[in-house]
Amino acid sequence: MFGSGMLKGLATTLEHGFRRPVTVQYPEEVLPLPLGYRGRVTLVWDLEKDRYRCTACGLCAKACPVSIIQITRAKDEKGKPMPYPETFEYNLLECIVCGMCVEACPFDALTMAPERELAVRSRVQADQDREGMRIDATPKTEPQRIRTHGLGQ
Amino acid sequence: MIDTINNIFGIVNKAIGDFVAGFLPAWVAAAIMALIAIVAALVFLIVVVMLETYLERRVLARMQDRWGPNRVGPWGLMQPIADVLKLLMKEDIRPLVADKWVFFLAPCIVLVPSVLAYAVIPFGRGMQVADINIGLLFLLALGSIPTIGVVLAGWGSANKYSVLGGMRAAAQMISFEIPLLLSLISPILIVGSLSMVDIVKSQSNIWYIVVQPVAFLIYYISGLAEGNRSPFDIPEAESELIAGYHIEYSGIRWALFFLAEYMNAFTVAAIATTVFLGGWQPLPFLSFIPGYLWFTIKAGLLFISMIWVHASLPRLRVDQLMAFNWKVLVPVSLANLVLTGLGVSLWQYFVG
Amino acid sequence: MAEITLHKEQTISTFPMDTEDGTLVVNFGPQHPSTHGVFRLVLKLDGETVVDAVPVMGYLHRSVEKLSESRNYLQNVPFSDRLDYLAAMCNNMAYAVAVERLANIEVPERAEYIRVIMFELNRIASHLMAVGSFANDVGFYYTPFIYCFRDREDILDLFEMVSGQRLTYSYIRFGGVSRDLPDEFIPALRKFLDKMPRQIDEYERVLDTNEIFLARTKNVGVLPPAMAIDYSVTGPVLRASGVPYDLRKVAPYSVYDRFDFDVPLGKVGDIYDRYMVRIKEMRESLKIVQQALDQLPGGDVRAKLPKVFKPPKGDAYGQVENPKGVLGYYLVSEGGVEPYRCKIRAPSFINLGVLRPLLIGYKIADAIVIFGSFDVVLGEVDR
Repeated sequence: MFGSGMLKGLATTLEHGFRRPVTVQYPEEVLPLPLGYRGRVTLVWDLEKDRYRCTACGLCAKACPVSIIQITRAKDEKGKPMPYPETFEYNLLECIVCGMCVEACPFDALTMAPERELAVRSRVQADQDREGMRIDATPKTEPQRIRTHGLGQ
Repeated sequence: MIDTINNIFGIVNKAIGDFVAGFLPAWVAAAIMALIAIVAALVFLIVVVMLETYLERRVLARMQDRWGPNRVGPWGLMQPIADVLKLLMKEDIRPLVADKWVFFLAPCIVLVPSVLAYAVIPFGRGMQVADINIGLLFLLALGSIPTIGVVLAGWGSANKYSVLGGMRAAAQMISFEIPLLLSLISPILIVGSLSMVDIVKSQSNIWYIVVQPVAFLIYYISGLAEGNRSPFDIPEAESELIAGYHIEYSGIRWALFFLAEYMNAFTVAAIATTVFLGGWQPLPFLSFIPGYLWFTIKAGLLFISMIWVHASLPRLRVDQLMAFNWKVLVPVSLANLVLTGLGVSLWQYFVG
Repeated sequence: MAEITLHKEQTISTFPMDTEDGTLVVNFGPQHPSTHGVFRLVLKLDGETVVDAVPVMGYLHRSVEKLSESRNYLQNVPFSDRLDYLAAMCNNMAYAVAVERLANIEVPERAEYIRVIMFELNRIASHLMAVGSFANDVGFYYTPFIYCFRDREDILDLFEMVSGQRLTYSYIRFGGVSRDLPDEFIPALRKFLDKMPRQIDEYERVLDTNEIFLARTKNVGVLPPAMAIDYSVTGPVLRASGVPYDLRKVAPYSVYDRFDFDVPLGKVGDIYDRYMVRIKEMRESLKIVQQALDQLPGGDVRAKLPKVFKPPKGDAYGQVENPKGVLGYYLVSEGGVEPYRCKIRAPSFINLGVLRPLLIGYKIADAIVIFGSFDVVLGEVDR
């Protein structure tokens, strides 16, 4: 019969009209993020040693494809460089969230935070220095790091 | 009790009429009564159009497995008000090389006939603004005027794409008026009168959709095409190259075109209800629901079916559209008319 | 289709915007809801009919090939994601195959099977997007688009579980894959595989037999097989014209020779056939994923590679059957950490070569739908 194809399509849409919609009403309902989600890069703070795990080796800066990490080493009282970062600059606006830096770090000092609301109102707010990037090394953040493999592991 | 609810508007109208005629001269009283009728129809129209814009987005969304606007007000019912406020606050842009008066007049010419059509549609028993004895002819004549507005809109925008869009829209609107007319005349042969009130009254035994299903279908399809609704929405298709005759209109000017389209859609539904679905006549076992609610429900369901068609069917190409009209709709509606005429005269000959 | 006369200099400046012979030059500009990206098409119209067409690309050029020359092989993996951003796993695979051929890396079995699963799932996702936006171009008001995207969301959730991202995964790397599958992946994948065939049936119900859809798409944009081969067209566009060239059967890479699947072909080469080929390929991909899941072995997911990766001097060409065509990576190495030259053979770019002869003679509405049926992604076209 001419028109049967159209009627099938009409029937399908009508049937969908009575189903419950599949969309999620954000921000009242939020879907959970999976473990291993790649979000914003954050520095890990070691609760036992009470310092960042970062030793300012610079491997993450070398691994980044877009070169947005800049690290300067801290100096102790005598002026000798020590294995601790003085400033750790990470440009949130240009990060491509690839995770190469996290994989490259041999000290488990970087991880990717499961944050999804990253919008900022100005570029200044987005430039993160070391204090803004802090995250505590609670057991919850540990598993995120364990499962990523770097080159040569 | 049921009778009171059914005639509530008539009772209120009569009360106001008697009160006003008490202390005012007759012509002032008549003018005030007419004004009240007009205002009532306009209020109904505005509420209906706002509900239409809301329903279109909601029903379309539900058919696409998503929610639709449900944030602004309870169930999103304030969404049309938010839309109107936003459009009012937009900048009024006019192309410098556009003809100022043509650009200004085009939306008015498109909108005014759509509003005027509600002067003759009977919303309930005794509830129409004017009962003229050529009601249907009046409506059909009004349906031809927006074509000029569309051509003016296309030409007045001084944009070669909108000129082409306007021409295409005008060609479509003119062509589809023929099956529209022919399919509406078929039930008229049975009724014998062009007055809308008579048409509704004569459907108290049987609705004309049962007697003239083909005419109903052709009227529905031609109505979709007249109102530039899917699947005939080539003139305003956003994914087409030439985005339509109202491309240069923004803010409240565009809102007028938008309103006119929705009013047209409801007019098509309202005329279909009046001529084919019995107007305000209730179904025999549900006569406790008042007539005006019946009318709204029937026309509303027809409008929702238009949204359903919008969600499900793709758009026809312009030449396919025209071919469909001239090769399918016009011959079928002509055949329907001839058969109806034969049937009516045979009936009159044998039954009297 | 009409006879084509090539202009002496095929540039836009020789296309005057107001012509004397009554034709209209219209710019189907880079900003348009229907161009699937920033693509410009200058059309010369005679009434409604297209008389000539000049595609203009380059609005999304990001010089990926040049940037690749100053980054090491691992850092180039995210760049390969961003070529055809709708099928990032497939691009990663092409790059991985190229580097593995360059450095003779042996990939573990489990990694190969995981790669095949990801590749075919991404093919389904890409075809869903193609079918959805094609239906949108034809005129369905977003309804099949949203249905297709609803299922694409399920695939993207699977990918998010595995790699952490929804669009640019950097998951398939040379040597294997970057992470092993999480525990919740396989049950979720099985649930998806159970549900998907019914969803494809639903698309066919809405689209396939619709008379208006058939009237819009049958015998429109017909590409004869000889012409398709002449213009180096690959992918579903080629197979819709009836040429049985699928790299997974002709020159199998990875473990594709262990799976049993068909290669759907079209008959006429019109846009309806291209749509049909994509729908059928989705079903075939589901078969492949099911077989790969059943045969999935245990073991390592990465080969052992040195910390500083320096492939030997030489060159290699790695090609895979992307959802859009054949994606090829030509890598030249001088023995250092960075490639000397990285040339990308992008299928959408090559397929666009046949757009101009195909558009001539059709109406504007058809021109848009023909372009939509090619399923181009501008990320690939412009690199």
